Amino acid sequence: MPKIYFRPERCDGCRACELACIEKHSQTQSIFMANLEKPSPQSRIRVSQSANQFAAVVCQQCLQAMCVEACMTGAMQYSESGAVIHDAKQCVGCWMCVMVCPFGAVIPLAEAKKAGKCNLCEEEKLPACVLACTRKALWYCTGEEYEIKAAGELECAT
Amino acid sequence: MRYLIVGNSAAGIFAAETIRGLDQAGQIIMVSQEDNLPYSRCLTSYLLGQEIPEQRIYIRNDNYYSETGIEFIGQNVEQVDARAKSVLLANGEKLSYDKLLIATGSSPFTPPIDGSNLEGVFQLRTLEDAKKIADFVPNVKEAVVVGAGLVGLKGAHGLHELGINVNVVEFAPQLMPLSLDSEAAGMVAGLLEKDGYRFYLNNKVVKILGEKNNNGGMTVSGVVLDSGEQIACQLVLMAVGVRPNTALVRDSGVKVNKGIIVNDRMQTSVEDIYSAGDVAETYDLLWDENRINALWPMATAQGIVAGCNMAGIERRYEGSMGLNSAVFCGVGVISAGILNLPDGEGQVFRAAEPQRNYYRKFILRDDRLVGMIMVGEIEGAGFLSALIRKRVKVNKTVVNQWLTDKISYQGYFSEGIPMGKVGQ
Amino acid sequence: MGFYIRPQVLSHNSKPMAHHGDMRTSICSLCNGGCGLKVSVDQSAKVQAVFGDPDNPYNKGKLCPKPMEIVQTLYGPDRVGYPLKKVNGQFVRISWDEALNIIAQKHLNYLNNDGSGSIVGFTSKIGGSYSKLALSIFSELTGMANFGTGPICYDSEEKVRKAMFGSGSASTPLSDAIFAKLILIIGNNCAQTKAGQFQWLQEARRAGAKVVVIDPRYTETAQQVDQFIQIKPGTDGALGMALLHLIIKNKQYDEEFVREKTKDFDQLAKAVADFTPEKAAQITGVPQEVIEKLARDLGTSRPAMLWPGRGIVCVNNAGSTLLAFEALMAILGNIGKPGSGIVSHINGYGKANNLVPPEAVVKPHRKRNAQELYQALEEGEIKMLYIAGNPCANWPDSNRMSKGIAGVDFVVCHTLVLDDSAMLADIVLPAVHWLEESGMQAGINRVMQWKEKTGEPYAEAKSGGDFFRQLASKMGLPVSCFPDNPEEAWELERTHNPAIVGITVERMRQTPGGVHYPCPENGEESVRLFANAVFPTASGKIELLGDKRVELKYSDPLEAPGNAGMLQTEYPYLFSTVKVAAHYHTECQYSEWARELEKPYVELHPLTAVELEVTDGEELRIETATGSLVLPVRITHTVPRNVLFTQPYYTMKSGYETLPVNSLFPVACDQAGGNFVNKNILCRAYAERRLGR
Ligand SMILES: Cc1cc2nc3c(=O)[nH]c(=O)nc-3n(C[C@H](O)[C@H](O)[C@H](O)COP(=O)(O)OP(=O)(O)OC[C@H]3O[C@@H](n4cnc5c(N)ncnc54)[C@H](O)[C@@H]3O)c2cc1C
Ligand code: SF4
Repeated sequence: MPKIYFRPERCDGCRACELACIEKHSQTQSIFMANLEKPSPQSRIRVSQSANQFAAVVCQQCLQAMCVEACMTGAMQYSESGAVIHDAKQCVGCWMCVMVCPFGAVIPLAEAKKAGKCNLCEEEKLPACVLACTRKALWYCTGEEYEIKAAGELECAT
Repeated sequence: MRYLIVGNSAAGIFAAETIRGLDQAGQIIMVSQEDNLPYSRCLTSYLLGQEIPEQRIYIRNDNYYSETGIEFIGQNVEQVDARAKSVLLANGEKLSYDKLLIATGSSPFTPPIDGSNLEGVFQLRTLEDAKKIADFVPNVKEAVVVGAGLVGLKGAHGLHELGINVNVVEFAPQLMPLSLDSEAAGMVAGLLEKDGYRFYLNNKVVKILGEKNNNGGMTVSGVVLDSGEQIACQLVLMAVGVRPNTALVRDSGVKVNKGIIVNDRMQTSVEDIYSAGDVAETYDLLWDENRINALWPMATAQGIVAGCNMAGIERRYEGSMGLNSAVFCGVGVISAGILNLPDGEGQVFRAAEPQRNYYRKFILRDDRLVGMIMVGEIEGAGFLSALIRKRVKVNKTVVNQWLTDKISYQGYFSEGIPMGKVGQ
Repeated sequence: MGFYIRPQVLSHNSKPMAHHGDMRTSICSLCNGGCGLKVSVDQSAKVQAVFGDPDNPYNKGKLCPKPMEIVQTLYGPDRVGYPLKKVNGQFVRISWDEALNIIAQKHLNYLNNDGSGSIVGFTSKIGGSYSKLALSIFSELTGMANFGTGPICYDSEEKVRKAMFGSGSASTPLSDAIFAKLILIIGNNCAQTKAGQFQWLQEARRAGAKVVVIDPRYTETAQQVDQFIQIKPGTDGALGMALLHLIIKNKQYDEEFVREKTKDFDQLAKAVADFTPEKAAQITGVPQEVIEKLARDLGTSRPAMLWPGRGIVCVNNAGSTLLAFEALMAILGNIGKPGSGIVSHINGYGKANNLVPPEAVVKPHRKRNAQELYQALEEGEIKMLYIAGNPCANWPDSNRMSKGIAGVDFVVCHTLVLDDSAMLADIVLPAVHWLEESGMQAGINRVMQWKEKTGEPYAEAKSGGDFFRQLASKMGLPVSCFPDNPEEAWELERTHNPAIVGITVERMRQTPGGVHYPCPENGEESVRLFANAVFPTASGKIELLGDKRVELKYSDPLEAPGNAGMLQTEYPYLFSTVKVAAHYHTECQYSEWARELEKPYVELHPLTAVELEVTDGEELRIETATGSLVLPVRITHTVPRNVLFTQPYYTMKSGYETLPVNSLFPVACDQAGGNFVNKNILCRAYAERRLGR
């Protein structure tokens, strides 16, 4: 199953991924309206900085996901394709998942009283954040593809 | 292979699904006292408060048993016969097993208080409990909740949602004594008081008063506190703690301390008998001893480990820890691990801004995070709970930053600790 | 070893700039904005460069690239210098006399045999006031029907506003913007399209006005204002109706003004009674809170102005949308007072009457609207065409239009360049450029400014004024009706139109920034229309629902003309053209600078691009029911999902060599039966992977 990989050496912290994610999760599908919406949409990918290093954190689609185990409503679950998906209708916003996700990739949506996480933009061909990343620091591919690509990068670099 | 699972809640369900995933052919029989589809106990208070409709309390769909090929029997298990490898049901039937999982959870503990058998005295554990309370509340204006633990406060919240005045009586000097420190608890109390709750801390109910009702029975009319104070009420919710449901294994050879003692493969002292969930006493990785952590995420994780081992795949349980998440008046409260170390041990980092309901406390021992409390701005809490669980050494400057900054992977990553160490 | 000299640079000989004395003043006549220009002219009276005129109080020196680019087209290789006649498919040079003789003979021939209705003019680019007046005199004498800019630009807007207020013009000069508390800009990207107007936007903001832009795209204008509201394309009407609903519900309208000065308020209230903000939020994609906040802002910020643009005019539901927003301004009492009103580039100052003795007037024997013209062309009803414009590129379903024109017996094209339409002509006539012709130029500030010619006509170029007079003389028509030069023409026009009789050439020359019209005999200019709250409608009041030909009822752009009956499963995207700074009509295409600034593109949202499997620079084929076109992709977050945008100014017979985009738009108008639609048309698109690429 493909998922989103992050290459820290390529990221320059522009946060275009965050904006793209906000747009995707806005009701209006507009980055310009997003901040006026209620509840205001939140990014599911978070870029943090320390010194001059950036890291984008997004759901890693764990094979054995702690959020699925912790979710007391069954809202967190695996999809048929193997992705970790979140059924917002079932969610009551207890944030047990926020408490256990080791990546900090489940976002507490305070206004909506729900949890929020990356759903890989399932209805799109490519996740919006991956598309928005001009530095190609986000890759959307399977683990095998990632290994090959990453090995190729290493070769190029040396 | 014939798997028998007693209990159809968190531990039982996750175990059954794990077994089904590993052994398509095996026969899975699930027996539970509660004759219904699997539901989430944690949502009973939401149902009570009418925050969710009944159908949402169920965590699996209507055809769950048939789709997963689980034979479900809605019966109480009276006794486990380890030698005969069978169990005795309440209807007298005997069921044999190859592998048995005891996931019977726990039941509310009822303290011996005068009047606790009166009409209007409830506990909140099951769907049925929630429905019973719901049927009763139309006549209730004032309620007393005994016990300010998580269940007590959740129950209180449910009643409050229905417009009932709620009084919470707690023996300890603070709310949630097991999962919060006094400062965070004070903050939560402040939030709830503003919302209309009344708290009686350092107090206990010594007597429940009753009066005759129209049906000739006796109904609750109030409670008397230790302090002598009386609170008039029409409903009492008892939430003073739970006791594991171990009655079925008496005389079976299964070792029981507080709960059923299991090893890191969820095996009891008797072969082919496993246990998981609230009923099991498992390794607590912070206290380094067996303990009961009666929590949903622990129950599911243990269920998975039990399921694996029952189906012949060795899997070890990494251990439990105290871990709580609750939301009060929109403010998230998360705590994990050890919250109060003996004086002189370890090191505490804290930051508090009560005016915006913000509090953070990190407890370090031997340079490792062993506990934390976060109130408000809880994003990234999971990262810290992972550090606690993995017993990773942390850098104190970073911990200091976490007091005020967003909790993020990055702050930690930059200290040279590889990402791979944390999480899965 | 490297190089120390760049030989290419040496081959350029940069001319020294003319000194200040040769700077002449002019007025830009491209978009009816009316920006003041400074034109530098060399010794031989050739235009060297164009700048903004800092002394013009309207644009204050600000300018868009369009007039600057024009310099490249004045003497460029594309300019037509001599009359041409098509012989065996080739153009050969002829004399003006020969050309006029042929045209006169043909015209008389068709007039006698097929009637006046068989001769039609496309006259959107006929020239300045002199040429316009001559054309109208000629048309009255011959019964020729003309199609100007209206059908491709503003007819809907004019119809609706005229029905409501009695006049289609802007009610307010732009300079009023500095008194406004709030300016509502809808579908108008003046930062790109109208430098002078944008200048006032910035001034208004400095003066404290809150500026709100409503647009589906994050336009250059939207980027520089206080609030941007992104709206689903074509749904503005729903927003307007919800605003009306809220203003009425919350009693925030100007009760006295509504009672005294407007008609049909109760019906208006009824029409929007169920148009709740929830409903509008659903339709428009604008969050309900935002709609409510905007209504509150409108209700509490007076005076306020409305600046509508083509985004709500050239669409298939323009009528009701315009009605809603203009009624909104009316019930808020934002009419006739300083800092209020509606800004538009429509300059309705009325027609000069009685220029031709009644007995000489010939009425067209057939009346057709713009839509009917296509069929008339195809069925051979039209024998002769006068073209001053580029209908083969500017009119919708351009392929059909081109075929229609190609099928006409005899086509005369009065033009600056051999564009797509001129190529189909039998006789091509060289036209003067607007910089080479004096005349009155109206502007969006609702003023009349006198434009002095700055250069001599190129080669044998003639203005429409001269051409029609000389043609009339060849045809034996009363030449005395025609003016001889621009000044005389204006004198004639002014004295035959009571609305502008007070505006003499001299007065315009002496009034920097121009004279506000109407300006009757007493010479008093009308800075604001309706300042006296008298409206030239039947009732003398604002008719809030117009003349009821357009209903105040939201119509879904996907169900409205041009899209109705189309399957969204087959055509899942919307296609729109939007105007850009570098172009106006098709004339700027002949400037290399313009082509440099605006390379062909189609703008897509990144997610749309992924869906279509194209990346930046790759070619995308866009198909509508009427045509298809290939354009390189430009990916941008500024456009909404599922809508494809490009600019409307590509043609085949220019450096672009690109099919006119209008060939993708159907021949359709909104309910008002006004102008054609060039936005929000259903389309499909797929990556064009050509062999060998
Ligand atoms: C109101 C409430 C709120 C809670 N909120 C939270 C929370 O927010 N976070 C959190 O982590 N935890 C919470 N908990 C605790 C959580 O619900 C439990 O930890 C979890 O349900 C344990 O699951 P289990 O499978 O071990 O046992 P249980 O859920 O107790 O299930 C035991 C099952 O076994 C059956 N059973 C018992 N005895 C027998 C027998 N003899 N024969 C047959 N069947 C039998 C029962 O019918 C039941 O179906 C809450 C609990 C309550 C009551
Ligand atoms: S917040 Fe929602 S998804 Fe997360 S654990 Fe609670 S119910 Fe499940």
